[in-house]
Amino acid sequence: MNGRKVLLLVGSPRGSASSSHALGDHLLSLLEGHGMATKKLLVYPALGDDKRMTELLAAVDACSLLVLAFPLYVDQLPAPLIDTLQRIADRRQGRQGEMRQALAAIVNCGFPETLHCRPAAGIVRLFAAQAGFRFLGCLALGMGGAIGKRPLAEAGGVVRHQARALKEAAPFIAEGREIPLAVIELMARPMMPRWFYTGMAHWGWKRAARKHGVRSRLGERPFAEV
Amino acid sequence: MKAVFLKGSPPAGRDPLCNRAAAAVMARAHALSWEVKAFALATMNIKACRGCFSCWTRTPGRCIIADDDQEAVLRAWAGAERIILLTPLTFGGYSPELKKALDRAIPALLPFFIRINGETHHPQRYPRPRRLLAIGTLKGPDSESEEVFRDLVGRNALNMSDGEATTMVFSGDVPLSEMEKRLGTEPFFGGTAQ
Repeated sequence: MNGRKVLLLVGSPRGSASSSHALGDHLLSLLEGHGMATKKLLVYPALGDDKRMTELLAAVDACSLLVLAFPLYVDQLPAPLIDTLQRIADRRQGRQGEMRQALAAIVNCGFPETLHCRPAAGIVRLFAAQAGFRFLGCLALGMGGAIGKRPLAEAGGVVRHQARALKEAAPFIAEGREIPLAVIELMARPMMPRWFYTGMAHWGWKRAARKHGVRSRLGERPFAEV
Repeated sequence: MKAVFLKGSPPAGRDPLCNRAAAAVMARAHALSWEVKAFALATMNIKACRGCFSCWTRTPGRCIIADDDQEAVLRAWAGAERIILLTPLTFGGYSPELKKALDRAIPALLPFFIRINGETHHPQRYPRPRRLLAIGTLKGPDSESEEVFRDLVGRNALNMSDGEATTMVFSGDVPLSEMEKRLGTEPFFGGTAQ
C-alpha cells in the first residue's frame, strides 16, 4: 500500500445492486492494484441516519481520493447525492486552499447517448471547485441499463470499452493526474448499436409490465383531467 | 393558463432572494390570471426516488411511494401548460429540495424511447404544449454556475416539456421591482424580450 486512501461513494438508490456500484467497484479494485487502500459507502442509507452521515463525512475528510459513482436522474445527480455533496461542501468551507484531495466521478445514464450526462459532469466539476477538491475528470457513459447489477468483470464483452477505459484511467487517478480525454471518450463509446439497445429496453419494459399484470395499462394516465 | 410552480428554496426562508423571486413569479402569474399551483417543497414530506421503475411497469403513472406529498405535485404537473422551477443554484444545478420532486416526476413520462433532435428521450405521459421556466438565484455573479444551469435547463426542457425553456438567474441583492420587471419582459409570461 502507498498510504493513499480512496473513498467510493455510491449515489444510486439501488445501492450495491446497481450499475453505479458495478462501475465504481471495478475502479476501486483497479486502484487497489495501484497500491491504494479502499473504502466504499452508500449515500442513500446515510441520509436520515446521523451516525452514518457522520461516518461518511469523516471518511471524506480522511481520504486522499474521492470517487463518486451515480446514475443520471433527470439530467443530473440524484437528489440524495446533491444533498450529501452540499453537506460535504458546507463542512469544508474555510479550509480550502491546498487541494491535496482529488475527486473523480463515474456517471451512467439509461439513454443510449452519453451526451445526456454533460450537465452532471459540469455539476461535479463545480462541486470539486467549491469544496476544494482537485478535479481529475468525469467518466460518463450511456446504455447504463445494459450493465445491471452484475460486477463489471462478469458483464462480458458488452462493456469492453468501459472496462478498458477504467483500466487506462486507473493509473492516472491513482497518481492524482487528470484523466486523459482519450480515456473519457473511450468510456463514452456505445456498448451496442442504438437500435438494439432501445429494442431490448422496450422488450424489457413490456416484459416487466406483463409480470405485474399491467401490460395493457402501460400508457395509463391516472391524473388526466376529464 | 395552468401552471405548476415548484419552489426549491431551502427551509425557513434561509434564501431571501429565492423568496423574493417566488413573490415576483406569483405577482406576474396573478397579473395574467394564470391558475398556479405552487408548492413550497421544503415544507413538504417528499421522499427520495427509489429508482425501482414501479411507476412505469407496476403502477403505470403512479409512484409506488404513496405515504408522502408527491402525488399532489404529479397531479398538478399532469394538467400544467407551464412548469416553473425556482432554486438556489447548487453547484450550477438544483437544490436537493427541488431535485427530490423532479426525480419523483418520472411517472409523468412513459418508459419507451422516442427521438427528439437526433437524441433519445422518453415521451410525455400527458402530452400537451408545455413550456419550462427555471429561475436560479446566486449570492453573487458566477458565470460558471450559470453556464451549467443553462445547459441543465436546456436538457430538462427536452425531457419535461415540448423543448422550449427559459432560464433566468438573479444574483446579488436584486429588488423585487427589478425581478418583476425582468419577468414581465419574458416571452414565457407574454413579454417580448429576445
